Amino acid sequence: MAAPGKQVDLDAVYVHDRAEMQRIRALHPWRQDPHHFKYVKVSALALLKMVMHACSGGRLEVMGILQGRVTANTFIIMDSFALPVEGTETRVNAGDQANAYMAQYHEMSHSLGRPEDVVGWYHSHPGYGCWMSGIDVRTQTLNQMLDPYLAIVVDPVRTISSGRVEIGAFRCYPEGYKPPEFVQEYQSVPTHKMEDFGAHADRYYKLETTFFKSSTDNRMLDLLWNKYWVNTLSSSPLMANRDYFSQQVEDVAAKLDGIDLQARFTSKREYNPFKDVKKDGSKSAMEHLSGLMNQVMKHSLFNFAS
Amino acid sequence: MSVDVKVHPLVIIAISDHYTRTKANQGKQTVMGCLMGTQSARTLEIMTSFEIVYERSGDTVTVNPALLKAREEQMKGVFPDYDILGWYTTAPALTPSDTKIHRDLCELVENQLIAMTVDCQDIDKKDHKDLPISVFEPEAVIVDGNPLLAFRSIAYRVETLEPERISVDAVARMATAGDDSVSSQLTAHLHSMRSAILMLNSRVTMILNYLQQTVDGLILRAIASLCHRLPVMNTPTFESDYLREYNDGILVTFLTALTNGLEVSNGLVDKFNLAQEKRGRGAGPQMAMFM
Repeated sequence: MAAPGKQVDLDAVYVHDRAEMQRIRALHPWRQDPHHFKYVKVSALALLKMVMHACSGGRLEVMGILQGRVTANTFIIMDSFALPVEGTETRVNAGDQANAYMAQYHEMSHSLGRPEDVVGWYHSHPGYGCWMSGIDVRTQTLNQMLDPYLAIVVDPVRTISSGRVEIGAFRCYPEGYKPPEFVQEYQSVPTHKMEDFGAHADRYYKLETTFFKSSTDNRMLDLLWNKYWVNTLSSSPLMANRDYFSQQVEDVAAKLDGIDLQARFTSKREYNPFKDVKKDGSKSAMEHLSGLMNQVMKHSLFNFAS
Repeated sequence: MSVDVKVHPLVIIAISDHYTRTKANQGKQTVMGCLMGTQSARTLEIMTSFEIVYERSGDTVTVNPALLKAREEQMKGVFPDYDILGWYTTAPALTPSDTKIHRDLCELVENQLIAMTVDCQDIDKKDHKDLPISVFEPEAVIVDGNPLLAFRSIAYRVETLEPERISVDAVARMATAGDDSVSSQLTAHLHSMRSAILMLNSRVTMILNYLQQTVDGLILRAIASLCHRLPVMNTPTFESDYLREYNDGILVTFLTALTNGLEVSNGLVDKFNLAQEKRGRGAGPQMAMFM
């Protein structure tokens, strides 16, 4: 990664350099190249805060703000905070009240020893994957007037079912820009979201996301493992995700039905329509299997006491 | 009876972050903050935290009340069920001057608070086996007829939500997000299960070693009776539910295999049709195969 200065020290990233930030802002290299930013580094704190906030929303979308800075072609997200926005099941939208809250909260962060700027926003897509909807693209395009600005989407429901963090970082292309070679990355998206997913996919691109932590975090996490390995062992993804799994199966069934209809009533059809359904199916089967593995392992560990 | 305290990893990371950030930018070693969360009866669940600004002159520490109140207000705007339940410091231990801070804070938030020390300063010493976190409950003791505030150490537990656990795992292991291959997902899952089982194994071995060296019959008998009370899930209901779950899993895998088969044969049919179409163009009725 092309970060200026070698990061020998894990904690060097925590030093705030206002002058450097102002220098980069004045250069604004992102205005020349719509594809300028390529990487995102998210701190352990910011990640956990986003995930916890997304969880507290349940089936509703929630929204918040990212604080951090940029170096070269990388966003560094140090912290995040939640916004008091009432989301619906399908969208979030920040009103004036939220903007006022954001300004106030951010200003206070400075006095509380958090000097970083606002560099983006996040919201959750509970259960339908990390991508940008039409409204999200519009919001982000507007936000990018205040560049550098990043959009992050987290999915707490899929995080549980897949057992790994579902997070995506996105930037929008400017109005009228057509990406040179565009391949839409396939994602399994519920049938009722399919249209929205495809319609705006050439308007934004995904950034590569990694996480970072301080040396103190590192030690803490090591020690934490001593305490919570029990949770890993006792977690039961099958139970926690019962609804989600049946939803997935129904979804695959609905997509298969769609193919059936297509084959019956039109003579022209796309080449091998099963390709995407196959991916969906494999994904949910794999998730189901890993949940089942937990049960089987625990069954053989604890239930054969002799 | 003391309170039951549950701490979320987010809070631990937030405090560690606060400490690192302050040390890197101002060189200060001790930071303080408020703990927020929910309370039901005697159970406190610490969900999040925020920083406190304070001034130290000599031995007295003064907390900035306006900032604290304003931040509390803001947090409540997003999480209306959360209250300030306690405060933390990254000092190694509570000092007498902390009693004053504690009193000030209690007065400010009009609530009974707990105190938490997170000793970040010597965390790099290798001899730590456990998190350097202690939780204290205030207690009024009478010394020479005067009521005094003292702190009593109480136990705490680490509590995680499922996505939180997965995130902590990801950060601890430094996995990169965005590796979409399905099989690597399963491998990662099995890896974390494996390390958990290894941990269990080491704990059980430790207990076993102890038991083998103990000759005190009374203790052994007590342990044996405890072991008998441990629940083993081998009731018929569990068995049938377990089997159903197992069969569901196999069924889902089977259906997926079928779908994959469909995909492959569909590809074959498409290719077959294409080849037939070319060869038999214009000659006789077309044979089209449909799935």
